[in-house]
Amino acid sequence: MRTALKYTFLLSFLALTGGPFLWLFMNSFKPSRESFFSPFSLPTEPTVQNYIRAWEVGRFELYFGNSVTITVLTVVATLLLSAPTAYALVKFAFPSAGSLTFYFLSGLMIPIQLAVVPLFFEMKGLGLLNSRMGLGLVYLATSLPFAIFFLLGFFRGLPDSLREAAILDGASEWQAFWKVVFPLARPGLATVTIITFLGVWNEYLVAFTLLSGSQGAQAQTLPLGLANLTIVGQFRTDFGMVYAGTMIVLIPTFLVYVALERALTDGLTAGAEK
Amino acid sequence: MLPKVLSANDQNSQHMGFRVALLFLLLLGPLAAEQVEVALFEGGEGIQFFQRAARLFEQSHPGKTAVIQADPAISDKVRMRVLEGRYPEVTNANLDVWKLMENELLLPLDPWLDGPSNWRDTFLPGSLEPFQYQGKTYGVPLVYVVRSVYYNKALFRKYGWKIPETWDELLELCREIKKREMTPFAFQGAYPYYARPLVEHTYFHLAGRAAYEAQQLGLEGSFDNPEMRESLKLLNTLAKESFQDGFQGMSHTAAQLEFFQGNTVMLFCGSWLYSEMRDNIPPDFELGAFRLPLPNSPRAKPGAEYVTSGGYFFVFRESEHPEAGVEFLQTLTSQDNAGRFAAERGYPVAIKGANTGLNPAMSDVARQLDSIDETFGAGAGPGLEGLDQVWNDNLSRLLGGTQTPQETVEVMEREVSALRHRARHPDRISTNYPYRTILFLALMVMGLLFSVGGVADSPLSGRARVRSGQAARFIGPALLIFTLFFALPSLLALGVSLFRWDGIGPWSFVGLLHFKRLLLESQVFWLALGHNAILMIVPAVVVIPLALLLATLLHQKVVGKRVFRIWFFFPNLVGVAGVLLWQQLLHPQNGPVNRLLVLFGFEEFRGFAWLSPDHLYYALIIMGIWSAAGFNMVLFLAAMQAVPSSLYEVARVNGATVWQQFRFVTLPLIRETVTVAAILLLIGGMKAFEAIWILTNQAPTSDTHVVGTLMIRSLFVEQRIGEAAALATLLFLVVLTGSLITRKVSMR
Repeated sequence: MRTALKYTFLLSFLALTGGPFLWLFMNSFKPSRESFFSPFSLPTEPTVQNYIRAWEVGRFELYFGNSVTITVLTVVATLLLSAPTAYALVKFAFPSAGSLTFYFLSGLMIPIQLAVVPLFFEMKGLGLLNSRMGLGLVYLATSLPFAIFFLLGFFRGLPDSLREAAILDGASEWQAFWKVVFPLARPGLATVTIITFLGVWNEYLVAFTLLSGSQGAQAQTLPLGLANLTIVGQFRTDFGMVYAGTMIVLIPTFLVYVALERALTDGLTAGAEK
Repeated sequence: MLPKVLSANDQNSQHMGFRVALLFLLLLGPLAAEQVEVALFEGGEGIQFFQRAARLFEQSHPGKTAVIQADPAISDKVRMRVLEGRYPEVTNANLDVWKLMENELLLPLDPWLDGPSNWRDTFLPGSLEPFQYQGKTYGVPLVYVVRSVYYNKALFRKYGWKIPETWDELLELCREIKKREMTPFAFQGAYPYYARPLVEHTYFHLAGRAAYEAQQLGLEGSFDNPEMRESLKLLNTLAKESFQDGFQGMSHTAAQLEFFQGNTVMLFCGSWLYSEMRDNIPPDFELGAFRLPLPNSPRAKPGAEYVTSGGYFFVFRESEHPEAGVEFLQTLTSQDNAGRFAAERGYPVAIKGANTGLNPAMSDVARQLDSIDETFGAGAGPGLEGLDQVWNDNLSRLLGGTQTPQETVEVMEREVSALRHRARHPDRISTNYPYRTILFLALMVMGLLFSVGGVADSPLSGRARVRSGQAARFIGPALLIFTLFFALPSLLALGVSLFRWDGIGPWSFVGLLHFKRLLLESQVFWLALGHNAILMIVPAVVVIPLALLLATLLHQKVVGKRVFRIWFFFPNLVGVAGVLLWQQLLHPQNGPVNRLLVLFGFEEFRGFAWLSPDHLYYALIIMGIWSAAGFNMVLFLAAMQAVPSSLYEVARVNGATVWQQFRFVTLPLIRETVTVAAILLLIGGMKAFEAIWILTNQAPTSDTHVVGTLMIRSLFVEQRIGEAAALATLLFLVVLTGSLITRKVSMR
């Protein structure tokens, strides 16, 4: 009885979370008119025309490449910068450790909207407007607070003995960190990876602000492309193209997530256990 | 394009000569060709027509080229480029043209209009008037927009209905249509301002031109009067009796599609209708059109039509080749070229003699155009700042049934009076909300005081002693990047909030004026903050218990655990794509949500407008739960797996129930995680932006704004940059206080 109840509950929640995606997937293979008249049926003649149109009309090939480049570089840089920072803030004794920790964590409480206006003019001054580099630097800066916040907790639970052993063997703090501690932090880093990935992959507002200028079209990312596609699709009543475009954005998210899902959960678990 | 050509030829040495020649062309090209960049709004029309006009221009103007940059969000982009100081030559984006004209950023077109070709005389009468400033003309139109009632000719013929001319006849006709169990009108209710021409048209014919123009300027008494009340009453009666269920949630194309699918008999629209919908009009559909209904009044003038010429073209004075830009516009608006547009797209143009070939599907509209002898609607002058939002808000409330016509005219009069006051005395604040402001500030101060010491440093003992140089090596790079690209600009924003700046003119220091205005005077700000509070609290209250329950269930032995976990979590990861998905799911007529609800017997959800201002927040809460439950579940699950199982054994041995185990073993041990989850949910609610921005089609009303959307509107649309920074500062203050309090509580 209790088991039946449990599965009923879990399955109905599964329908709520997974159902919409199934519906979208199904309708992305139908001509617009069919998806309007019979939104629940399987496509009578499945077609990939919607996808081709999204790819061509929406220039998704370009956006896809930009999004991948910016996301990958941001994630890697976030890992390389946040890990030593969080480690030093937890393990080293220096007078400003507490206030620096607070300084970084205050970034968690800053809505990005606050920074957008001055950022625009700062980037203009630095000649980084309308470039992938400029956008990536802002993404890196805004990804750091959560990464550091998460890794602080992770490193706090890490025993000192390994580091101490490395130091006794003659390694410097710097070497000890990269050779011994950093590899051990893999589960925590996986969590930071996926959370940073998602934040950057889906980001709209900053990209919109920094890439809307005269030379920005070549640097634009998928969320901008998708938003444009939706407006175009709405004007043209081409919902099939919007469904397909949405799917194109969702599929990599899903794949990366499924690949890293175990690492993510492991990371969360490990962070709590050690 | 060109560099690609070069690299493709790199390995092919026999093309050396060709490459040299190409290189020459490349070097000379930028010097020789005068390039005209055309920043074009791209709706449903497609850009092929403009591409062809560009080729025509190039043929007739050797040495000059035209590049079409089309984008559905072109207005925002051109605004950014004005800030950037790099202008396209030509644009038809929707900009604050008056500000641009005042700052001499646009090129007066009169030397060309009055040149040898007599360009001015080729435009239809009145169509050059809207954008004249200090005797100069700055904008030229291509299209000509007249409003009509479109109808399904086949249905009219079948039932012998007559074309109504007056409001009384139209209302009577609608009642007859309803007797036949049909829906008279589809309506683009997601954009309440689609009703504005109808109201203004009625008001013009009831009150006369002088009163109409007074209302355009927002003069005293121009809203709270019997004629305006009557105009709104007619709209209200029609909407209540004859608009399709769920019209408030219908976007323009969704509503128009309902009409073309034969689900409604009539539709209000501008003359872009055919052009916008032509790919979705069933081949046998017979499109008819008649004039907007006239009220019963001695002032009514049957020949006076509501006409706006949408999408004016402007030339930027400081672009690289402004003269070439004007020449492009001359090609674009030539009778031949414009005539082709009218013929192909079925969209009337503002050029004399060019509408003769208008696509036959629009023949009724062509006849309507011919009989115009007086026009109104293209409001001349900059008008009163904020008037559009007043219209939008009040039409939305009237159509949603939360305001009667009488209340609406009173509220509009009051709000417009406040706008007038603000325009006259930009530095004076009326104190409308003293108690709320005091309460808000007191709460913030108390919160901050309460949390002092809440972020106590963890003790330094037991840490490694290092030289400060060592620590700098670990922390320095992150510190630099975080400071330069996030912390510093955020701090600067606090400074910007003390200035007034419109993005173009000079800066002026105004101190705390923006804060006083928002807190003490602005109704919209308080409404928006209230909406944030809903999004902060309601989802958190539901999500945390739900996520704890899900985590508890999945913590036990479950078949398919991984599948559940993956799919529960996934909605959290999808961002903008998820919002767009829900927009489709919640479609009033065809959306699966309403269809399923009706299938299960909830008849009241037939055509339910989830995304109308009255119901939007129900939808947002559902979406919030949908996206957050799984994420929090995974956080809790991870924390639960870290609880030593021996503790549960001890608890079981001592006879603890499942609930007691949860309450006294699990919960205390995962408390920190729950707190983190709560912080993230509260911050999320305060930062809310994208979902509201997208679901209101980027034009929230005062009843749907959150602080984030209000800020983006101030920034990008109204370009009140200091005020936007002030909003962002207040948003920051709330998020900061909330987080600090929660952290403090969690440490007890």
